[in-house]
Amino acid sequence: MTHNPHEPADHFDDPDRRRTDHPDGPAHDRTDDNADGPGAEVVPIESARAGRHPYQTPAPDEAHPDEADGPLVLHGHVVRVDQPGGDADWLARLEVQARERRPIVPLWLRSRSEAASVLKWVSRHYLHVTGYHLTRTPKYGLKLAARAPRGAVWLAGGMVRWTFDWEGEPARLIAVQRNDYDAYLKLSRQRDARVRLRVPVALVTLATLLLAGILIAASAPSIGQWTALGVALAVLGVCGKVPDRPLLDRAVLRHGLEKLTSDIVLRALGSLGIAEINKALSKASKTTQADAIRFNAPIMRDGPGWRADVDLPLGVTVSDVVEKRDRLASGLRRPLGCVWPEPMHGQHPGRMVLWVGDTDMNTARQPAWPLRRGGQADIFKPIPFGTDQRGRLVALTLMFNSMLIGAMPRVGKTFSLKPLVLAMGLDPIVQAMVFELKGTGDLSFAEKFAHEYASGLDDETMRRALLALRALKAELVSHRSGVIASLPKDLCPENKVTRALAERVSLGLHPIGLIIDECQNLFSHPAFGAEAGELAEFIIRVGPAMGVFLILATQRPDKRSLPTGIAANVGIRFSLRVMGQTENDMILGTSMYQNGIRATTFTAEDKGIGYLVGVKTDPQIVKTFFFDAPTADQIAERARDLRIAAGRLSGHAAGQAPEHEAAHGFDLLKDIASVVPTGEAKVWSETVCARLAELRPEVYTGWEPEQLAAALAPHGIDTIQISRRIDGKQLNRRGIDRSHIAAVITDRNHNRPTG
Amino acid sequence: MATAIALLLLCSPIITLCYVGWCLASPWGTCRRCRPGGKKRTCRACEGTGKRPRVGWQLYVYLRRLHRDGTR
Repeated sequence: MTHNPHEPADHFDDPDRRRTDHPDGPAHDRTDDNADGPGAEVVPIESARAGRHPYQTPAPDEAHPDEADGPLVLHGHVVRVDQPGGDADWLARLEVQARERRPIVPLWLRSRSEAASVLKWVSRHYLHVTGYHLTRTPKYGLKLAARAPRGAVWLAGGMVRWTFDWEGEPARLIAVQRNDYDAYLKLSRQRDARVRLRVPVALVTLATLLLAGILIAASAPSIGQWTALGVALAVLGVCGKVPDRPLLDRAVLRHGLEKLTSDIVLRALGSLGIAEINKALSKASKTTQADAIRFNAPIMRDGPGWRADVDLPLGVTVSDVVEKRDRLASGLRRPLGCVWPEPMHGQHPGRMVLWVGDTDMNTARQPAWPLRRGGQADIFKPIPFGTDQRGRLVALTLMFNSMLIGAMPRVGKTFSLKPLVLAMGLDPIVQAMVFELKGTGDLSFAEKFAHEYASGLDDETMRRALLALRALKAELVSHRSGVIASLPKDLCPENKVTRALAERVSLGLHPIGLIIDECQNLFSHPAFGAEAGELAEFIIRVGPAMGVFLILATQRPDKRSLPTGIAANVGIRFSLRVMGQTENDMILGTSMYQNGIRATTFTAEDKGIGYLVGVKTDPQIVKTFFFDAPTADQIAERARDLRIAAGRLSGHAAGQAPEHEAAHGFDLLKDIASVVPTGEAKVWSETVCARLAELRPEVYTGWEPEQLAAALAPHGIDTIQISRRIDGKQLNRRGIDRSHIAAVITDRNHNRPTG
Repeated sequence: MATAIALLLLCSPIITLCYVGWCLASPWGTCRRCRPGGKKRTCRACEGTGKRPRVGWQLYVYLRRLHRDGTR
C-alpha cells in the first residue's frame, strides 16, 4: 500500500471509494466525530504534517471507520462524491411517483362513446352466443335423448357399485390373497357398515323416484309431464356424456388472437435486431438489471386491443423501434396495421406504449360520424375528424387554426377534407369558400352551402381563387382588424373573435373558411402563383385570430408548390401516405421523420390513415371518417336547410355572383363609374366616397379613402397621387383614375360570358 | 277422505317437529314396563332406573351410529 498523498487518483476505479479533495468542506465535522473511534488509523507523521494545511484546525486525520484500508488523502478533507443518506426529500419522491398514477376509472370507461362501444360490443358478443345456441336447441335435445340410455346404464351401474361398496372389492381380495386376516376383517367390517347405511339410502331414493314416476305417469297428459320427461332425459343425457365429444358446439372460434403477454413482447423486441435490446434480453435471465426491459404496468385490454407499457433498455429510444415497426409486427405475428408503438408523452424517450389491435386499422370498423344523422356543428369547438388506432374519436378545432393536408395521390386527401367541409357547412355562421383545383368535382356537395365554390384546372378557376384570397386579405386589413380593435374590452376580452361576436351579423365577424384542394396548382401557377402564395401566407399569419382560417391540401409539398412561409405557419398538419422523408418533413414539420413520425410507413391499403400533428401534444395516427358521395350530398342538403333557417345562405349557394364582383347586390366599380362622370379623368378618393355615400347611404356611409383603396385592391386597382390647386394652395391627395375602373369593368364583362 | 288425507299431510310435519323438539327437550321418558307399580328394581328394560330413552331419541342415536359407521 502506498501512502503517497498526492496520488489519490489511482483508486478512482472503485466507486465506493471515490472521493475528492475538498479543503474545508462539510465533511470536516463528520470526520471529527470519528477521530477517537476505534478505527482511527496510524499515519506516518511526516507525511501527515506535510499534507496538512498550516492554518487549519488540526483535524487528527481523515480516517473514516469504513475506509480503514483505503488510500489516504492527506491534503484537505475527503468528501465522497456519492454522498450517503436519503436520495431526495419525500416530496420530490412523491412527485416522481405521482407522475405514474394508474387511472381510477379504466381507460375504456373514460369517454362515454368508448364505454358505449365496448359495452355494445360485449353485449353483441353474448347475444350472438345466446342466439347461436338457441337455434341449436333441437340438435342438443336430440343429442341428449340419444345419450340418455347410456346415461341410464351408467347411473344404475354407479348406484349399485356405490350401494354395495364394490370399489373396495379389490382391496378385500388382495387381503385374502395375502392371508392378511386382520386387514380383511377390518375391510369387511367397514364394508358392512357402509352397506348398512347405503342400502336404506338407496332404497329410499329409489322408492321416491318410483313413486314420483308413477304419480306423473298416471296423471293426465300435461305440460308438466312433458317437462318432467325432458328433465329426466336431459339428466340422463348429461350422465351419458362422451369425454371427447362436447355437447355444445363452439359459437365463437378462437382465431389466432392470442393474448399479448410479456414473453411475446420481449420475443418481438428481440427480433428487431437492435443491439442494446438483445444485450438486455441476454442479461435479463441472470439478474434484474437497470438496463433490462421493464413493464411499467400490467398488459391490459385498452379498447379493441392490448396495451403494454414498456421501458426500453438504456439508450434505446421509441423512434428506434418505430422505424422497425414492420419487424416488430413480424415478431408479434400480427398484421402491420395492428402494431402501434408510440412514445409516451411526458416520459423519457425510452418509455414505449405498445398497442396491439385485434384487427388491422384499415379494416377495423369505424363508428359513424357523430354529425351524420343530425345536429349542428360548432366551429369554435373541436370538430370530429376521424378515429385513432384504438377507435377513439379525434376532433380538431378549425377556428384560430390553419391546416395543411398532404399526401401522395389516391390515398384519401380529398376524402379527409370532407368531414371538415361538411362540419363547416353544418355551422350556419361559417362562410365556406371551397376551391377544388383538381377539376373532378369531388367536393361538389359544398355547392349547396358554400359562399364560394369553384372546381377546375383552368386559369379562370385559379383566378377566382386568387380573387378570393385578395378579398380575404382586404377583409382582414380594412374591416376585421378595425372592428376587433374598436370593440370594447368587455365584449372582446382577448381581442379575438368569439362565438357571440361572430353571430352578430352587424359586426361582420363571421368565421370564414377557405379551402383549397390541390393548392399546388395555384401556388405554382406562372401568373398568379407568387401573389397567391404571399396572400395565403398573410392570411395564415393574421387570419386565425380574426376568424379566417385556411385549409390547404396538396400532393406535392415542395418549395415551389407550397411556399415555405405557409408550411412554417400552419398549426395543424395531416399527412397521409407519402413516399419519402422530404415530403414527410415538409408536411409534418422538420425532423419529424427523425423522431419516428413517419407517414412513409403507411401502405397502399391505408387509405384515409395518416399522422395528425398539432392537435394534441403528441402526433396521432388518425383514420378519417369516410363519406361516399350520396351521404355527403345528404349532409350538405341538411347544412343548406340549416343555413336557410338561420338566414345565412349566401354567395354561390344562394345563386349570387362572387362577392368581390358584386357584393350584396351592388357593384363598387359600377357605382364608382356612375358617380364619376366620363369628363372627370381623375378624382380624389374623398370626393368619390362622399358621392358614393350619397348614392347608396346604407352601404357607403362612413367610407374613408383608405377603405376605398382596400376595396379596390382586389380588383387590381391602385390609388394614385392627384395634385389639385384649391384656394391657391397646392394639395396632394390619393385618388383614382376613371380609366382604370372602366378598363377593369370592360375586362370583367369580357371574361364573364354568362354575365 | 281426501280432506282428511290433506289435513294429515299438512299436520304431519308439524307433529314431527313437535315430537323432535320434545325429544330434544327431554330425551328420557318413564319406563312403561315397570310403570304400574312405580320403579321396579329388577326391571330389565330400564335397568331399575324407571327411565328409558324415548323411541325418537333411540332412533336418532341408531341413525347417527349408522351414519358414523357407514362413512368412517
